[in-house]
Formats: sequence, structure tokens, C-alpha cells
Amino acid sequence: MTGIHVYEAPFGEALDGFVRTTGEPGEERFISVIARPSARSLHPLAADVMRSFGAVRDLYTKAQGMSALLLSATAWSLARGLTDLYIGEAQDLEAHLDECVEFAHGAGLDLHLVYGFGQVHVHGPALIERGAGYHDFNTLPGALRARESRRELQAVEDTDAGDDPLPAPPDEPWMTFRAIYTDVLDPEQAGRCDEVYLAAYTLGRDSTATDKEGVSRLLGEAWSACGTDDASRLIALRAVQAALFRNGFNMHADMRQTTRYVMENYVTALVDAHYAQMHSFADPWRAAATVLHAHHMTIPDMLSLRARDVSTDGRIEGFDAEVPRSGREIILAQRWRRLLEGDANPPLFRAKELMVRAGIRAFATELELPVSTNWRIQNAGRWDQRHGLRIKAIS
Amino acid sequence: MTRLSEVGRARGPERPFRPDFNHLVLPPRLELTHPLAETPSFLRAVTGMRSLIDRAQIGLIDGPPGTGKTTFAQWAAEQSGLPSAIAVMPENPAPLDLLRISITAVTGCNPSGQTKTEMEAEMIAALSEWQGLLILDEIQNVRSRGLNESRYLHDMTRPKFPLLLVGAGALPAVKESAPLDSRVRFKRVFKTLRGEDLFATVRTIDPRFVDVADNVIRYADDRYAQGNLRRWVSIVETLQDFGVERAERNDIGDVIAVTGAA
Repeated sequence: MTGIHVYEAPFGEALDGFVRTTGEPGEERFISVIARPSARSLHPLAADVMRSFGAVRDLYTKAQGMSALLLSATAWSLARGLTDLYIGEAQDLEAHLDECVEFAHGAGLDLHLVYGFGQVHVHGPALIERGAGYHDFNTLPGALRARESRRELQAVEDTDAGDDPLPAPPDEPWMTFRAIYTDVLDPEQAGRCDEVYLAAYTLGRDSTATDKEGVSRLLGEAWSACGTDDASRLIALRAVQAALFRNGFNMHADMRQTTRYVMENYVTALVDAHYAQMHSFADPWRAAATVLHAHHMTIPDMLSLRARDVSTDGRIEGFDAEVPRSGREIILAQRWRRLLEGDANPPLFRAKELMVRAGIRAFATELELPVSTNWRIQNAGRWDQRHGLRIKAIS
Repeated sequence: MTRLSEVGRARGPERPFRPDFNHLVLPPRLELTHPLAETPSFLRAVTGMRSLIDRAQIGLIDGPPGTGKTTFAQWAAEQSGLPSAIAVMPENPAPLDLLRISITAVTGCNPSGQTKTEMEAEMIAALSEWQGLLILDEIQNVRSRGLNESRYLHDMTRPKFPLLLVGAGALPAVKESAPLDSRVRFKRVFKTLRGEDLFATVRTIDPRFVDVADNVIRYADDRYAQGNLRRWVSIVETLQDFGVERAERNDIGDVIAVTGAA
């Protein structure tokens, strides 16, 4: 059973530290909200808890009412491993104290009720009955006692956005590619291109890829490591061609087709800022489906997953993609959301394939995510053209 | 063919009636027909106002009707250097009227939200963008829950905004909401005019009284105005209507008879 802790604010204390200035999720392991006066239900508190996660969208969930919001809030709390819920001006909870305690217990959160000066009596008997512990206001975390509202961490900027773009080297065959750009570009620019070239070359030399799929995977790895802008892709591709030649294979690539195939199947263009945006939806199912799709899980595979196939750290057994923590939190939130709905081990996604595709498409469009949503039926007759690659062993 | 209305079924969802609240919004500037009377109460309030604005705190002004509270509020709105709004609370306001009228005062439009939560969000967003001085007049008409709402808005809005609560009986009304009462940093009580303050103020508001003896002023005050600034303005306006150049005791008697005082 989680605990209930009671505090009384000093006279005139405005609890500035409880107020977030933006809707972005922070790095703390606690949630803090200020209770709304004269609320008729716990719905506003649930919505405020969701907003403290950065969930400011998804009207469908809000339209479903308090229980759906509370489920989502509980799921996100569990997914993010939160430990405490602080409620300021707790006297304004009025008759909803029991619901609030139940929510905190369900989400595994210790409940901290901060009352205004002289207001603890509002819930006095109920708190005594529940064995609440009384604490000094100064034992609250420093951030909550601050005289200014907490500044949220800004969403991580796309690291490519602010950097100087890599200079575009001339598109020459791999044999002369490096020599020509070294000649044509100034030393500083050539040096930057060399960093990409040598990194991709090393990957290629260490690789054991011998077929189109293997080489596609290798290119995906190289582009993920070196960058997915046009210049980086070209440099990495030429470097891999040179490396494979040293490995005994001659590779030709149609840049356009290869780029499309590799980007769709082996490269994830999502960065931290995108994952942070995905936290802005209360109901996590679309975000979770989009994360898995961005890491190249097919929709039939998604629909075959059960909630308990997702481990408590958000990883999925048998799915090797490196999903960052913020993405795994989203998948975990969906796991908890489904488990909280009552079944022992329900499907991770309740929707059918067409609905999942539509959900991912709408989600990616609204948030402008760099995720392909053009599902095509694979045509076996065009297999040779799909990769855009031709690989031949050097005799 | 039977019309739906004849069988008692509605033809469609009815839109809730949305009253216009613009008549409860005062202009944020002085509208005097006489020189501004800087009474001692007025001057004491001025000293606290700059700090209230600079620190975005909550202030309160109480005092009997007619002592210049609303005039001070309008003066403060005009002189603050910030966008300002004055929302007047009606008698027996509905539970969400404080929100509705305040939104109208700040945005110039009726609230678009229908629920309390929507209106709170609308108000907080508007206040954050507006960053002005909000004055709530006749605050004694608002019950404890409504006053608590003003505290919540002030707590949640960033950057914070200066909030001035004005009303006859504002002090006891705010005391009913302990969290709000504890936040009020600036309290001033406007008083009725007495003694030398009375004579000095009356002579300021109208040149007819500049050379008038103290006992004439005292006579008018005892018989009618009783230290109330609004009643003194009424006396001045009536003298003006009569075309009186210099107020004498008889003129004052006539004015009092016309205004119906005992």
C-alpha cells in the first residue's frame, strides 16, 4: 500500500514550485499538480496529471471522460517509473480525497497532500483514519518549495538542425570518389567528409554481408551512425562500396531505390524531440504503434503481440531494434494501459490492421514525424529491383 | 404530418443562452467630470500600488461605498503602464460568473469554453499572453468559492499578473477564503472624509468651495454628504445645474432639498 503524507504550507505560500511553465515532460520521478477549486469530480485533476506528463492532445480520450483519463494517467505513471504524486492546495479536493487516494494507489504512487495554511482540518478525520503521516513543509523536494515555477527541460533539439550541413561532394564512382572530393573541397570540408567516409568504411570492412539484404542492413547501420542527410548517405554508400570491394564483392547501387528501401526498412529517423512530442497524447496506443512502425516492425507482428510480451523496461523479446528509453516508455505505457483494462494478458493493440495503419498515418501527419506511411504490397516479381543493389563476388 | 414540436420532441440540440458580459466591464481609465480628488485614502493606496504591479501580487481595497475605491481602481488601471481590465461582479453572481466576466474583461469577448475547466484554461492562457493588471470590483458579491477561483488563476498563470480586489466589505469576504487571504500582500481601507481632510478635498474638487468657510462645508457634510465623496460630487453637480458661482449656506440648503436628503 502506498503512503499518504500531509504537509501544511506556510502562511501566504503560493506553491510556485508546483506550477510547470510548459507542457513538456520533465526528468523528475514525481508529478505535481495544484488541485482545482470547486471541481465536481476528479476529472480536472486527472487531466492536470496528464498535462504534467506533457499530454495536451487527444480529445478522444478526454471525451471518454474521467475513467479513461485516469487509466491513461496510471499507465503513463507506471511506464515512466514515477514514485510520488504531490497535490498542492489539497483542501480543494473536497469530497474527492478517496478517489485521489485510489488513483495514487493504483499507479503505485506515494501521495503527498500539501494543504494551504490552516486548511488541514478540511480532511482531518479522513486523513487520521487512513493513517496519513504529517511532515514539515520544508521536507518537500527543493524544486517544489521554489519561489519560481519550475522551468521545464526544453525538448531536445534535433542535433542536425543547428549544425552546419555536410558539404555535398561530387557524385563520382566509388573508385575515384574520395580522391576527387579531397581535391575539390577545402581541407576543413574534406576533413568532415573523411570522418563519415572512414566510419562507414570501417563498418563495411568489419561486415560479413554478402547478399542484398545483408548489405541493405549494413547501409542502414552506416546511415544511422553517420547521418541521413543526402551528403552523408552518398559518402557512406561510396565508402561501403569500397569496403565491400576489399571484402571481395563488387556492389552497384541505384541511389534512389536503395535509399528508399534502406530508409524504410533499416533506418529510424526519429530523434528525442520526436519521442517527446509523442508523449503529448493521453492515450498511448497510436504513439506506441508509431514507435514500433518507425523501428520497422510490421503491423501483423504488432497485432500478434500480447501486453506481457513487453517487458518491464519496454523491450520486446525477439525484437532487436534499439529503441531509446523515451520510445520504450511509450510502448510500456501502452502495455500498462492494456493490462489496467482488466485482462490478464490482452493483445497489445486492440485495433485491427487498417485502423492501426490509419492511426499511425494520422499520428505521424499531425506531429510531422519522419516516418513512412506508404504501405505497399511486396511484389515478388520485382524483387531484384526493390533493393536497388547488384552484388557480385569478385572472381 | 405531425411536427416534432407537437409531440414534444426537440428539433435539435439547443444552444445554451450566452449572456453578454460587456456591461459588467468598466473602462480602465478615469471618467471624471471634476478634478481627481487625491484623498488621504487615495494617496495611501498609491504608495502600495507600484509594488503590487512590479511584483505581480494580490492587493485589496475595502471601504464604504462612495469613498473613491472604484475611482482609484480606474486611476490605477490608467497609470499602471500595463494593459488593464476592470471586471465588476454583479449581485448574486452565478458560480462561474467570476470566470466569465473576467474573460470578457481581459479578452473583450464572451468566453468560448463551456465547462469550468475549459474556461479556466482559456482564462489562464489569456492572462499569460495579456500580462496586464486585472481588477475585480464589487468583490464582496462573490462567495468564497468564487474568490478561491481568483486565487487559483493567480497561482497558475505564468508570468504572474497583478490582481486588485476592490469592494465594500472586501476584507471580510476575502477572509472567508483563507488561502486567498494569506496571499493578499497589500490591503488598504478607504475612509469617509473627516475634519481637515474633508475641507481640503472638497476645495479640490470644485472651485466654488475654495473661499467657502469651513462651517458651510461642515453644514453640507452633516446634513447630507457625511464624508462620502460621491455625495459631495452630487452636491457639486447640482450647484452646477443651478448655475451657482459661489456656494453659500442657502445654496447648500437648496441643493440638499433638491436631492431629497433629510
